[in-house]
Amino acid sequence: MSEATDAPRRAPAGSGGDLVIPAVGAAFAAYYLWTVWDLSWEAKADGLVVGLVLLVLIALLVARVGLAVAAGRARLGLDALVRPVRPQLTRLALLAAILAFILTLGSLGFTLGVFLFMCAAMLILGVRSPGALVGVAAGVALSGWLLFILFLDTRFPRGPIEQLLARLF
Amino acid sequence: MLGWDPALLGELFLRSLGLWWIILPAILLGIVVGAVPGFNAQNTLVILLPLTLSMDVERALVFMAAMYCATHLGGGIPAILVNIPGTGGAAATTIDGYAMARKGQAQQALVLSFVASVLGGLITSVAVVVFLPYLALMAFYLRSVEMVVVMLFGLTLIAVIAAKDLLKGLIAGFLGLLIGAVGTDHIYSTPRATFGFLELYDGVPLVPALIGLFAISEALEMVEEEALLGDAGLQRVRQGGWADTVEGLRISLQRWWHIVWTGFVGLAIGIIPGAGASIAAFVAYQQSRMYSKTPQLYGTGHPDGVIAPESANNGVTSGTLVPLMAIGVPGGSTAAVMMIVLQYHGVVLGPRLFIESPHLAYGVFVSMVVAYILMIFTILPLARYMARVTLIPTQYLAPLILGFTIVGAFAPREYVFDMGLAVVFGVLGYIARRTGYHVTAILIGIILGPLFEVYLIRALRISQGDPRILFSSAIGNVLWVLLALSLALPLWRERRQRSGKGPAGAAEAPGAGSPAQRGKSAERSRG
Repeated sequence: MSEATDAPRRAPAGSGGDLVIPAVGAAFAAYYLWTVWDLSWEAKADGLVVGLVLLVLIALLVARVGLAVAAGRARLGLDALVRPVRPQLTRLALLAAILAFILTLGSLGFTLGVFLFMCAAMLILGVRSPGALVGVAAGVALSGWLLFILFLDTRFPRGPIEQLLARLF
Repeated sequence: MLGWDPALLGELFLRSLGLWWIILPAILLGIVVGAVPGFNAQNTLVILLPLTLSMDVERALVFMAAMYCATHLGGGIPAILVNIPGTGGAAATTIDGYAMARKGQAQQALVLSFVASVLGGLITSVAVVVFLPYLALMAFYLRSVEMVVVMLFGLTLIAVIAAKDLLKGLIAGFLGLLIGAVGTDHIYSTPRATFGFLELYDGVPLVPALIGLFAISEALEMVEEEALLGDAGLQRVRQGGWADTVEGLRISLQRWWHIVWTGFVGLAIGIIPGAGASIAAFVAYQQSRMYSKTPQLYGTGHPDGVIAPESANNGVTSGTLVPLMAIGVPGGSTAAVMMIVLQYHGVVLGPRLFIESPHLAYGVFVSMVVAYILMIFTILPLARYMARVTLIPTQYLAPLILGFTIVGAFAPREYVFDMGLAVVFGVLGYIARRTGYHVTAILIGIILGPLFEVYLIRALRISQGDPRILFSSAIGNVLWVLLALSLALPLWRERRQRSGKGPAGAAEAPGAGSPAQRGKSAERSRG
């Protein structure tokens, strides 16, 4: 019942999208086996067993997709991953905001970094009200500061806001 | 000789009840810690070591036991509300719990989860007190050979349950196992597949993997929707009053037997050192579906699909402490931290503990009973308010999830690298969701990976590298047969369905595809 209605957003059986995870898996298994090849048997036994089983399973899936494509029941395309285009651009923008947050965390510090990231993420997702943007972002940043910096004293990078708050508290 | 005395147990119960002022804060802390991905009982107990080491041993034990139980309950809350399990043990709860939330039944799902957790934990704790001498023997029968098969069996069950497509489920599970094998090996400490990162020498950290696979990928999925709920669901949650809590309570109590037996599944698996709540929850879910008269409803927001994993993951709590108290072997990482605290206080664990300090040996389980009783009164009234999280528009909810969880990825090891790792897993999880590879199977593989290697290498070293040792034990061979059957059965059902002999949809596994999709489909099926 429910699975039938899943169809519109899932890759059609045997489509190219189905092969992305196996491709990643096969590349990773090959890399893993390459790194353990010259090691003692104790160090590579697990990787050999798991990696080879994974490669066999991937081969079975590739064969299944190949047969489906040959029979005309499936086609090789990445529609499930790249369409519709607009939400994919939003996702890429969100990922860029996350990466920018992580990369600038050292210089901006935790609180300012979280504040700016929250503002950016909400802007990307369509929030336009300045009050909501600043209010939610400031609330999250200050909650994080309270929990992670003040109470748990974690080693998050300290920036200008932390230095200012440290003088006050 | 292990044995028990009713008078002693009565006295212990009253003593534990008298420590309510320690238990209640521990419960509240445990629920919060369990609900926040990145924190769990183990790392919180490590943070709180200065506190527990300075306490009297009995109070420290009561505090740790209560918090441990509460974290297992707390893990189900975000699993139901936003499809992000707070702990690995709540991963199976997402399947039906989130589907219920997407139908506007979050309050009911939370109540089901709370009652199942509390009753499952309570009953199994009582059972442990009564049957402790016999339960302790179970851990002796499972050695490295059997544990290798148990791990593979668990992974196979998850692949069968979580993914619609068995082959994709197995690929996801084995990919997870291989990711779990990254890091230095256990004998010579040689780095393997670390991509040159020192941060991966200890293996792939679980918290960034969990956060990436579940939280980041879920937030990326939400982008296309304005709200988690459809109009009917929104209306239902807005109008939801105490009646939904009462209804959830009624449904749970109606299924008391279901709670009991799935709790015992958790207990049995919890006793096996290393198996843990993740496997227990999935095995209970699979068993629940197998014996259900309506297996086709699992994955669409079925109450039994919430009850089974939640009862089982709380059944595990008392189970993991059985080998610790009875033979001095911790059943899991949290039990290991508890062992450190007990040893610091000079407590010698093992059979002698029951003779020399029965108030401690049995006291821990009695305090769990008391904690569970107090827990239900603490948590149940909150379900109504927690359910309102599902009303938050996704343009706020997705950034909130991202903000809190990416920061949470930093917390356990305090490496900025782990935040980047969470993003990598987020992208992997997103691709997996879109193409029908279940993220849960990947996560459980990552959790089991290091354990699987430990047991595999131990078995192979005993046999000096001869793989035939894996088929040398009677219990192990029975488990191999069960594993083969669990692989063959879905294929057989599928063939039967194709030939039109089986019940429509009966063998259809839930959970594949995006969770958003599951919710939508559940919404439609309800309509």
